[in-house]
Amino acid sequence: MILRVDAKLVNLGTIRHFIEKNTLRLSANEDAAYALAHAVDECVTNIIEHGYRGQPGTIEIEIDRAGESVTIVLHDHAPPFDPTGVPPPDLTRPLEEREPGGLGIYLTRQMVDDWRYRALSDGNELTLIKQVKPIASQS
Amino acid sequence: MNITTEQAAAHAGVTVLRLQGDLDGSNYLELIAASKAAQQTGAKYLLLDLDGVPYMSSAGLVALHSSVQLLQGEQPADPSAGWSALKSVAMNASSSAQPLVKLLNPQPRVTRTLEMSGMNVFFEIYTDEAAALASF
Repeated sequence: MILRVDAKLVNLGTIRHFIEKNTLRLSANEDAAYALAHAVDECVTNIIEHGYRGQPGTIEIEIDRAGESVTIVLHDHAPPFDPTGVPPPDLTRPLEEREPGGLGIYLTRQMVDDWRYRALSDGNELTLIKQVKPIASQS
Repeated sequence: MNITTEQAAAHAGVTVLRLQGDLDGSNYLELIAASKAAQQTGAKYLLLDLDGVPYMSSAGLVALHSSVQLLQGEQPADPSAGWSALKSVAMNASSSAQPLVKLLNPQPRVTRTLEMSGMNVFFEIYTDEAAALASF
């Protein structure tokens, strides 16, 4: 299942609905579907605001299931940026002492089991992976 | 996002903002604008009714922080500030809940977002409106 949308913040609701509806079709439970929709929202917001920076562009979102994981692949044509390389905040330090940067990235990390970045010749590919229950055990 | 503004009749200086709809990167500036309008028309405290908000992203967290800053008489931080916004809230609040902006009836998923970010520490959260208003 693929969704191709203009890189505009007004499309965030449409994107979340697409993710939730189709991850549920792939037998993810509601919590997993919500977590993926939230993670994609944060990633797409970053692509629009910090990648395209207000310039016209598109984002392609592909959902699939592989074994006991749902994978979501985001393609964009913005300048290269690897969000997985942003250092996580040191949660052992008090909130007021943490270094700034990457709130959406931090939340994304909390909601997926793995994520992988690949620089393409014409943009970026970001893959989000979340474990879901085996299909046979969900009936 | 639809935001309605009400003055709390029996509680001078308290304005209630009732939010309806998802709060995300497409509309969080509307909450900041509503908070600013309330502050400019005399609000000293805000109660944000989140009962009608099924979803809030990090953009919504930044809007909450900006509302606190406005009630403190400051200019909101850069909306893309992320953790630095939280850092500012923490510094201003001395690592405890600040008294100017309080939250009413956040839905479980919104509460989860607040908890994941650590921002729940800096907001008093109520499930009873009368109790929330009486707390100001």
